[in-house]
Amino acid sequence: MLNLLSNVLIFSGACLLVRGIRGFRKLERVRLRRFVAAIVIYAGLFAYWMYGFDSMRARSILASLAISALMAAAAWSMGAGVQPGDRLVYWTTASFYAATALAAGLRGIWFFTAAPHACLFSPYPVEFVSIGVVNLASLGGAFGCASPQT
Amino acid sequence: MADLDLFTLNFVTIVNAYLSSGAMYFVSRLNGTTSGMTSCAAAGFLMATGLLLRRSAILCRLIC
Repeated sequence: MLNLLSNVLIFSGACLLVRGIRGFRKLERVRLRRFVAAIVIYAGLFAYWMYGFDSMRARSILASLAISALMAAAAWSMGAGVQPGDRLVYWTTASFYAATALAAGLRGIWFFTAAPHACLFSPYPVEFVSIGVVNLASLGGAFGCASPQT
Repeated sequence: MADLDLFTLNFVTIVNAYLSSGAMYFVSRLNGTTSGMTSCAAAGFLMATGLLLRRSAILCRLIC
């Protein structure tokens, strides 16, 4: 149950991040009901692969690809239509989100191809890359959003 | 060793996410700026809490 809750929290946070970045950039907001629907579908699929048909691989692929899609959306929202004077800051920030999308996507594809053992730690190289990029993105996001818009 | 390294890195990530979100929230309050930035800070808190719960669940399973 804690596993399901934690993954839904992370997915909801990523949805809120995309919504927040779009608000910050004064872009057209995605309707809240779409995010709620996405969260419900995600939670349903995750619960199915946890309680209905237990598959750690399917859950890992779902979580990775979902985060990858949301981070790609965050990168696009951060980097699209930026004034020339702001490009250095915003495109750098967007590139951190894009790198996170790439790392999460690669992690998802890796889980498709590999046969991971049900190890609780999963100390595979792809995890180290993923964690490193997430750290950069959280720092970069804070700095990028803190910079004033011209 | 790699297991421990990964576990430590995960907790560093969680602390980093909390600090970054806190900084973002603090700056948004200082500037009195858009709700977008507050949403980003809230998103960071949610994701960090999710990561913390996930790691705690694994730790509990290992200890118990």
